[in-house]
Amino acid sequence: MNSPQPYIKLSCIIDDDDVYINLIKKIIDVKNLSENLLVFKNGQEALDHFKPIMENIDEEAFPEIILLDLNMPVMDGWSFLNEFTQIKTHSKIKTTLYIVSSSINPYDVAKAKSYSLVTDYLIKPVNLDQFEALFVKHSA
Amino acid sequence: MNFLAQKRKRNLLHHNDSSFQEENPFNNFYYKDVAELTKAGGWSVNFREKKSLLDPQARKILNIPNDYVPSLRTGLDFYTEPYKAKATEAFMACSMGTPFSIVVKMRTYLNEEFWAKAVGRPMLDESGEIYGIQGVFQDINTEKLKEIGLEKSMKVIESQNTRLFNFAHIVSHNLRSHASNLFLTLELLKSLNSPEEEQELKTSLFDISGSLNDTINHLNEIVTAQFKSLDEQRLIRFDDTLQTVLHSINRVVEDQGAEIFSDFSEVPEISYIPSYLESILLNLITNAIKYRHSDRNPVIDICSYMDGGRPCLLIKDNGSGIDLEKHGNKVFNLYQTFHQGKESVGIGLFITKNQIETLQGSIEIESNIDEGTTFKIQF
Repeated sequence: MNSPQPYIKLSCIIDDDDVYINLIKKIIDVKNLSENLLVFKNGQEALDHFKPIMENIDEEAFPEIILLDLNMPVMDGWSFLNEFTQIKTHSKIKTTLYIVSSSINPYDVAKAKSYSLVTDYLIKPVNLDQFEALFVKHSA
Repeated sequence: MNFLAQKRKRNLLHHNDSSFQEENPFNNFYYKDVAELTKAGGWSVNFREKKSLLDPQARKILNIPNDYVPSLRTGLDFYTEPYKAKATEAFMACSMGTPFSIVVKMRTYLNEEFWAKAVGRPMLDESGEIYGIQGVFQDINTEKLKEIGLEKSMKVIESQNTRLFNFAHIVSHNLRSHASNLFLTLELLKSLNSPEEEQELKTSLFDISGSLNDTINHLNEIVTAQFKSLDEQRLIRFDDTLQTVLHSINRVVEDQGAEIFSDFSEVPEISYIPSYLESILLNLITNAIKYRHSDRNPVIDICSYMDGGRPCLLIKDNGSGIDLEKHGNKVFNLYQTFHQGKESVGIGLFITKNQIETLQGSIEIESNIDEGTTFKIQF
């Protein structure tokens, strides 16, 4: 069932798979899950965007949900997490981060647990109901 | 064991019989057989009488001529250089009262080396004073070589297993990505109405199918590169292989104004799988040219040398370099690229590293941004 109001204002996907991004965009559109969506092709692009705005606590400009892929060129998910954790501790901004990956390597799942910033590790393809639930959970 | 019981009875009844003590125990066939079977020889050194003794089996193992007279001084000659210190230390400690049990590499009178286990203890007179040392050494060469061979095999298997594990996860991840996209596309197709969206999604299906094919082709490449038969190893000249590779990328070399210098005088040839060596050189040279520095033409130096008894290859370029602090441990990962916008698929270095490691070699990278990159391969 589609909600009249989008569940959250701003969400973010960090993933290098174009096809996947287009599909997710469509799902978010169709189910009205998020009003706006930020898309970055790799960790570096995302950091370049977030770093400058972390200081000014403009909550409107910061995504409530971040969906992070692990295997990306230039800067992968782990490197992004390392740097992002550092800059986030000095900021009052709140956000929920999920790792969404095609990797079922137990090493990756265990490593994800070691980051307090990571709320959960989801394996692609994410069940659509489960996906919608992520946004519902974080709606105001 | 009848004769053993007999011996025990003799011991019991003739405990203080000096005539039995004087009887040469080596004449007893039991001792002789045991010594021959276990390839163990006995020795003794009497400090007071300044006499060294080697029993017949010991002389046999060490291939000593009949007229050779052993002495403490020349005794050290029967140990190989690296183990002389160990043997000396053990003997010294023993002469002070500490028995020893060591594994050393010895050599015969005719300079044939063999692994041996040696034990020794001090000889005490009636008043408990040390007047010499005695012991046994055993030729364990066959067993020791087998042990070393097994350890080597284990290392090879361990590294193969790790690579297999990693590869399995790469396969799983890559194929899953496409399968997942397929799933999402079909799910969306179920719930969409407008014909434009339907068309868009159908186009997606073509894209996904293409990507899936690409991925499978790459995986095939990796598997093929990996499982060339090891029987194909033969002696190849670096010069020849380099010429073949340069010939195949002639166009690129010219277009990019690249200069390649080589010096294989120190190690002109190695025993290797020809297609591997070609693939390694091709990969590293094309990478060096592709990641050239924007301000200058690519210059590549290649040379072979010996290091630690193993043939090595150095490939140095003056390209744009890689930030190793940031990316060091991921350089050889699959699909890893560091420079945005370069049309590189990133499986070359992965295959190269796997090929080198399959033949028990190693590859290292050194790099500085704006200066260039150096690859060192140990075969």
